[in-house]
Amino acid sequence: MISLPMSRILSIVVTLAMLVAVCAVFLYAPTERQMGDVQRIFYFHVSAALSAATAYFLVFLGSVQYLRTRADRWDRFAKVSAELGIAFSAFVLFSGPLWARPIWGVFWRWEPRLTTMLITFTIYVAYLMVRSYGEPGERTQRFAAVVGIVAFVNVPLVHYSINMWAADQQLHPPKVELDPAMLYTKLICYFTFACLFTLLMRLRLQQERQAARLEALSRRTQQ
Amino acid sequence: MDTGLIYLAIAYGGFFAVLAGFLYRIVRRDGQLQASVDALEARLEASARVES
Amino acid sequence: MSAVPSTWAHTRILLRKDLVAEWRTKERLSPMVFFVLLVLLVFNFGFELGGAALWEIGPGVLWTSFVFASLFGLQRTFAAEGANDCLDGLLAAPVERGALYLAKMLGNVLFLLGVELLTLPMFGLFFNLTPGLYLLPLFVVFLLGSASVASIGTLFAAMAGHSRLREFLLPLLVLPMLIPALISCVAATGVILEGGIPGRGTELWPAELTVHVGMLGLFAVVFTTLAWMLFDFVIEE
Repeated sequence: MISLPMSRILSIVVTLAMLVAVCAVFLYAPTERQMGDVQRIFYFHVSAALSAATAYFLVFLGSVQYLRTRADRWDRFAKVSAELGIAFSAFVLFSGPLWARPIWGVFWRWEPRLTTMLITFTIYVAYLMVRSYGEPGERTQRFAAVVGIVAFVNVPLVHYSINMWAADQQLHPPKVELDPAMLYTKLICYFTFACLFTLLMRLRLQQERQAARLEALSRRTQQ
Repeated sequence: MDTGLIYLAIAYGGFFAVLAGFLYRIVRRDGQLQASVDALEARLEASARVES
Repeated sequence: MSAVPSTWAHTRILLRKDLVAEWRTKERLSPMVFFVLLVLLVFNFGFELGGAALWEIGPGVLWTSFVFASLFGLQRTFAAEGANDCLDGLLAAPVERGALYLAKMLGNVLFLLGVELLTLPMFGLFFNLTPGLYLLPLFVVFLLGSASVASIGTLFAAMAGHSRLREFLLPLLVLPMLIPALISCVAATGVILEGGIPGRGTELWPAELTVHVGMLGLFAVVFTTLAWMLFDFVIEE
């Protein structure tokens, strides 16, 4: 799949962008005054959170489209998006505590954003479980689509609700004045992650399509 | 500050390690899928030839 | 007047069927009430509930018990239709799928409400509550909380039978999605129960309550509407 021209171009773009991003994060961005170098985690942490949110939205989109068209490709689209969403969320949940510990002394605090991310993570893990533990077939795809829609509707509810619940625990500063260099670094990282996300989506979608083709082929040979 | 650098390294190191693993698994599974598809297509072709 | 009964008529009929069946056998209500008692007991020994800490965790204990108990209770929502392929029969009849969902969901709301009201005296006993006006807003919270649980619980209960996860499917899906509602329930109950402590001042509707009940109402409405729309897709064959 990597041999296909579009994927190849994307791979090169992603590699270059990643190199630029890493240089920006470690060399170009200034050291934060209060938090020190650990703050550099922020650039990938935030980009990953954005990617995860996008992924979850795509799950919703895929699920709605699947229920409307019943086309397998939308089901694959939703599934792949969910996997990516979970992967990026896992990194957010991994990097968050690593950032928090040197600065606030604790790995975890039940503060709004991390808690919301954790709950959302569990919702989509459950989504994938519905898929893996369902008998392969149209019914499981339908169920997954329904869950995918309910899951996404829950995201703003969870966000809003947790924010009210733990408003006093907020570790994330609401609005920060970013040094221009930091702002550019952040934008570079956003762009890099967007490219990476697109590449991974593309590779996985093609792979799933190939797997479906294999399925169909093996059914034919058995006849 | 020094412990901060360690955590920084773990965070970014972890990211790239997992990304590399992810990509490796994709490429490997692609290979397996392609091999299976080729094998099946060859079999289909062979059985089509036998029948004709 | 059209000859075809409206959705609401269908809902009423189906709901009556379930209620009558339950009334005759009481096979869901009794075990559930007993289960809540047992969970309360376990919490007591798990958490050393005594003294001042009671008021901080009381509402939490109450709602956690209800949530876990309702997960058990909701599993059986479609159990009755399993035997003799009744579900296929229902689907073959010209009954709107939405009516089936509403009937099951309302049945669950009534069922959960019943459990909550029956176990409240137990809770009052263990936590030394004196009955008072606060019971009215508490009823509202119970109602909206049950509606929130029942709305998505009923939807996912219809899916559980077809998964290898079986009885795990419902908790895995429902628990994270219920956390916002749980937060509001616990907060609201906390505000209300301060009226039950002997000596505390009481108002019928403390000001802080509105926000929590409002959110609960929002959850109930959003979940129910969403589940009602999606139910068709779960039940089709």
